Amino acid sequence: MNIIEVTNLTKTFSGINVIDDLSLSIKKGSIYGLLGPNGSGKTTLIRILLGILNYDKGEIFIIKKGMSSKETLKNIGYMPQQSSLYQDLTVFDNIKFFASIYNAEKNINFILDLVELDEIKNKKVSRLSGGMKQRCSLACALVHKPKLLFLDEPTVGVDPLLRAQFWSYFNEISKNNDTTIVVSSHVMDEAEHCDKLALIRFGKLIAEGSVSHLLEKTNSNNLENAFLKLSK
Amino acid sequence: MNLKNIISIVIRILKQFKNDKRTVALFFIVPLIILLLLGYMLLGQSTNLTLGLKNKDKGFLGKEFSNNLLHNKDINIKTENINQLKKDLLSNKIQGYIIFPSNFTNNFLINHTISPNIYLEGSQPQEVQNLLSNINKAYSIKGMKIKESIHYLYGNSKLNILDYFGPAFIGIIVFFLVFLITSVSFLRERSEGTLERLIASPLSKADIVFGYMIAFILLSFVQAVIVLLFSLYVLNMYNIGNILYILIIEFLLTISAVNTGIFLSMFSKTEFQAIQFIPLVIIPQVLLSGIIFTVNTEPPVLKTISNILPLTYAVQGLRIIMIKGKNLNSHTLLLDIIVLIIFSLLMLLGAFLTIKNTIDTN
Repeated sequence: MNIIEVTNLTKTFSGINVIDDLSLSIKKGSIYGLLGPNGSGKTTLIRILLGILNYDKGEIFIIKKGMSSKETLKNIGYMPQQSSLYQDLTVFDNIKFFASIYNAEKNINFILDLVELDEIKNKKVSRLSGGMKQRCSLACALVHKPKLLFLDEPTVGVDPLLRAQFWSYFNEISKNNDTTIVVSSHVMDEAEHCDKLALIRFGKLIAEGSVSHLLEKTNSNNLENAFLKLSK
Repeated sequence: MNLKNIISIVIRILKQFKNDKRTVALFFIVPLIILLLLGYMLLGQSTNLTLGLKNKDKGFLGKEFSNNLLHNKDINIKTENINQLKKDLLSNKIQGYIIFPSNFTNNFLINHTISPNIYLEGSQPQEVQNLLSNINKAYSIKGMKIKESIHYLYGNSKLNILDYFGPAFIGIIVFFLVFLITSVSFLRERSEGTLERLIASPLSKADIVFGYMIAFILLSFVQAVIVLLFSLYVLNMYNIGNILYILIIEFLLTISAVNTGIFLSMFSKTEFQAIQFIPLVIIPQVLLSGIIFTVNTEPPVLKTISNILPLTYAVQGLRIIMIKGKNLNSHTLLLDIIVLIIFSLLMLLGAFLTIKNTIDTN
């Protein structure tokens, strides 16, 4: 069963198609990767799916309710590319604020444990390291245990150890909560964690499928080569 | 210290400045706009001071002084019967009137003393001084004793410049600080990405705008009370009005300022750009809303602009409450409050459009 269906989506900025006739479908409970270089349209696509941006043409279905209505958004979590936190509030106050929007205050302690921020929950966000801010940002996106989670380049600027930890969180959430995760990345080796990938370039979908399917299709031994072959 | 390094920094800053078209425009054009406004106001100010005159004296002195007043080009003179003069003073058509009593010349001949009766509107110390000095110019005989009997419709002879400017400054302080803080906070919400997060949540635009409004109203209300108490009890500012009405005006001004702040944050991308709005939003209001110069004496074009500025109504409202002790029975105060409500609603709409625009143009 698909949780997201996008058909012939087009978005134009100043006469340029930043999303160009793009269609894709995402299965419920899966981890779906949007892979492509910087500026390929991944963030724009996520913002359109979240209702932050309008689009010019096409159709979108999310959780079977059309484009993100406020009702649909109750079941969606979003971790933007920049940490997007209130710098002068503590970790706890940031998470509490987002929890209160979704009536999910009861999950605060669980989420603090999950992202291992319990010990520093009373520290102001402005005093945290980049990695800790990312964890706090993830906690804010997860606190209401969403059915669908959008992660926009969640591991940018994160060290390899924390990156591995993040992927273990994502897998845990996906398995335990049956949460569908849509994650964008420009790092090809992260794609291996995804059940299905969309390779995007200049706003166009150049290929869609599992890692093994894409490698087989392009007769490549890694995704970087596969991406280069598909881009030609 | 290395000259080459310093030159590199200078060139870099000038290039940055050149590439920021808005800063270039504000830096060079805003001073000209402000000076133009100021010059136009000062040169174009019309003499709108009108003194009512009733000469009941049968002798030569009342006639002579009346003629002197009529020939004075610095003020307008209106001769009427006393009842009409009383009415005109109440409706502010005249700023005062003078009566030369029937025994005016006789008293002078017997006691070398003149005793005119002067009635002044009194709410503006500058006007009072101006009228009294023009009346004095009319006393063309040297060596006489002057025993004027001066009556004030509002205030008294002790009303000072602070009592007149105080209510206006209460208004501008509240408006300016609330506008600035809201504008920068809302901009930070956008630039740090948290607004995007809020838009992607179940919160509605109304939740966001009203959340901001209520939080800042609460803060500003505390600020308004502190400003008011300080003005009344530390600075001993003159007030014969009901404090509740002062707070109502401050409350409406706060709503306008919060929403103006949100609305104008739409046109800035950085806190630096938001700060650039200060001279554009604040200085014209300080010059045109009757804080320093009275709106009545402004040239017609500027008067039209003054009439659409919220601070004009807030300043007028605060003054008539504090100096004249007016309440909601006063049509002027009621109009001030209605205009402030309308402006608040318009700015509220602007704030909604700002958030919609944030969604559409991200």
